[in-house]
Amino acid sequence: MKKTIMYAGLISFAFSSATASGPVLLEHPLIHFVDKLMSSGAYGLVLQVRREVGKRLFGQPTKAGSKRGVYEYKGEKYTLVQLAKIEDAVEKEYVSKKNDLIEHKSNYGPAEWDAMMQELEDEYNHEAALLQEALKEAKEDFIEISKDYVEAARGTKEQVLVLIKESSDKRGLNDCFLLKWGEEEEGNETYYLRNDIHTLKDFAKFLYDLRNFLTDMANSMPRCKKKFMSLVRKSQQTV
Amino acid sequence: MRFKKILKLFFVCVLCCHMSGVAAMDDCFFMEDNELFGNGGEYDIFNNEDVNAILDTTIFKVGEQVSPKEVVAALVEISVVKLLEEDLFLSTAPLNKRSLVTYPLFLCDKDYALKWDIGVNLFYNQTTRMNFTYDSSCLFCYLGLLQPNLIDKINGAIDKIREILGQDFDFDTIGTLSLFKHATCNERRVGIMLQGLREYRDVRFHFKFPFYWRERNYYLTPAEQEEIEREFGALDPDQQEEFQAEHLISDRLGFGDFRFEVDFPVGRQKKGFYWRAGVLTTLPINIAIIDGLMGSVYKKCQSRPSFSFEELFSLATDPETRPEAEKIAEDFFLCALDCMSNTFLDTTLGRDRHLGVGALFRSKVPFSTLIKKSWAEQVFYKGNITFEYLFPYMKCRNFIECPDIQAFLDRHFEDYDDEELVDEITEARARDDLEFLEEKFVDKFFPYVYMTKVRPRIELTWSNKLSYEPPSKIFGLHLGLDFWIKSGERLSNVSASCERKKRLDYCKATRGLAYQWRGLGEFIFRVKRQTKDLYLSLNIDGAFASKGIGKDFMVTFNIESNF
Repeated sequence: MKKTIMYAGLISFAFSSATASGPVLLEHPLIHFVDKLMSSGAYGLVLQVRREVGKRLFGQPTKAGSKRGVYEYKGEKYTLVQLAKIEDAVEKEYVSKKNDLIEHKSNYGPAEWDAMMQELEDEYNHEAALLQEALKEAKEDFIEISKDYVEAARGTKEQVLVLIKESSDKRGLNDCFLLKWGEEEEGNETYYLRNDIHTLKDFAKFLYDLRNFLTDMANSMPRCKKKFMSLVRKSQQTV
Repeated sequence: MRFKKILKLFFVCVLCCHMSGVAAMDDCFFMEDNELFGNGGEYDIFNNEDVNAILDTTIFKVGEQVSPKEVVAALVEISVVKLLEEDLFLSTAPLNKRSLVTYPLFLCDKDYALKWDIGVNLFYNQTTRMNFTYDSSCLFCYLGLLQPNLIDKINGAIDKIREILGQDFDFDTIGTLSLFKHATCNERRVGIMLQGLREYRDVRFHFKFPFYWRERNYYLTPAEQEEIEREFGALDPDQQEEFQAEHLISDRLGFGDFRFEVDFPVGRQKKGFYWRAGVLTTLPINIAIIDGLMGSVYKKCQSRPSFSFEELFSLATDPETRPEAEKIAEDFFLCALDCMSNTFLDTTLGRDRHLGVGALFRSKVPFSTLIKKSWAEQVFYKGNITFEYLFPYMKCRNFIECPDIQAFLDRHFEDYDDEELVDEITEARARDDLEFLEEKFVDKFFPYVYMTKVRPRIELTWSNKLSYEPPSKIFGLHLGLDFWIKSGERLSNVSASCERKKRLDYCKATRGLAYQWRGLGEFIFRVKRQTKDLYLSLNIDGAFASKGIGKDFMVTFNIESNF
């Protein structure tokens, strides 16, 4: 009997983990109400923000079928995910080199060790500054692309937060940046982004959570989806 | 056996690790659409090239026109449709009022020695709680806001909204509405009553003509006001004053109706007695000279306002135009309040335009015929009975339609809540349903106004006074009782279409019977001169029992010259 319970627990854990990555359907009555009332234009805006966020995270699709980054770092374009990985690698490399230097301090003379340490610090600071520059650019870019969406949600903050909470709960995200962003006072969202997110990794995570939330929202509105698809078909016919 | 169990456990663990692995913060943490949803299937909206092409080339706007189907579906969702099935108005008739010319304090019934009498009465009359129905002076007996059915449906809609908005939304329907349940209307009338009397060969001619300021306002006790301010917050005093003047107070200054009476002795007259009969007429020449000294004048809303849920929802969903939506809603409800104020507060200075013609009977009987005492010889019973027929007059009257639940049932609004049936609803049907709901919504707040022939019929007064006015003394006293009754109205010739006429609720539009009993006292001071007598009197009366009309009181100061 105990084993059965254990199996059941494991299986349910497995499925709950599965929902955290796949499609999540919101069930709050608010979403059903919004589904009935939301125009296809507003639904399109949700999808558009989601798509733009996706482009920042994973890159802009090119005609060749590959993806191109949006943000510049050392003269080349990178996606936010790539930048987050670079940031992670730079950090790891710095820590590893620093530990190495500290470990082998006795192999060097004091002046030579200090110089090497200083060089490492300078190199790291330079890299960090470049990454911060990219982070700043990414934040400002996001503020710009989400302007209309944030404006559209003005006055309905509490209701949007209810949906963010449901989405986060279902995805097992209890302390994510998206929730904190949502909990910020209306109008303070940009201040929060500019001042409370310090790394590219955190910012990429924030955008990824936001994109997931928009995905959940879009998936949970079947009527809007249907209306939007008919709009798509209509515009195809016109073309 | 043990090996099999270990294998099962291993299998489950591998499954878990595989499925939960995506949540770990590593390379595979950030997953793209094709990784998440694959290609095609139910969620293909994110991997659809046509969709992406539109998303990349179109500028979407939130404030797009919401379609009628969407609006009706939303109204069904928040139970507004059920709410619209209920009536807000339990009555639409104007409030009963008593004309100043019928008040007992304005009877010229002193023991005049000379043939001419001219007088002026300064008066103050106040009704603290006007009656809205036969039995009640509470506004909520006129508006059905505390009717169990309506409360149930409001609660249903609020529960639905609460469910949609989350638990933070809190609204206690009965508690909130109960704050206003004792709300009523006040009336004040201040002015002068000009009166004159001429006796010519035993025939008396008598006229009365008031000039006064009439003010009506909604009224709540200070404790009730405090409680409401605690619940909703208070406006600043300037704003409050402005709002009251614009929407909650109505006043006029001008002339009331003109009353003319002629009476003559009937039967054999004994010393100390008189029996007189006569005729009277009340000419409805009331006219306001100044409107809105402290408040406003509210016009009858003959052209019903239009209200579009479609426009409101479209504006409300776009933050840029949301203030416009709020303004539309605010204007609509203020207009509804003004329409209500027209019914309750804005009234003419007389009996509208009803000409009155009637008969009167006056008597004077020495009290000594009942009590054989010396003091009783100075005391007289003075009776005054008037019977007046008020002629019909065409005027605007508010009507609502009888509730028609079947009209709602026939439209099958439940289809909008059904995921499958909703697709079958055509735009034409949705538009028709929406127009129906918009019309019903306007009906809730704005009664129909039609020119109607109103027959007030009969008004009767019966004043009884004990009069003590010894010729040898300079003072006198009147004490008495007064009874006034007015019959219920009849309505006819409503200028509505035949179809509409069938649906109108005539009972609710008809002013019912009203009566009141008053007690009165007059203290008279007489100054004798060579050629004339001067009368000064301080008079007071008040209603102590009434139905269909409020209990008012009046204080007058009377100056008369008898010559």
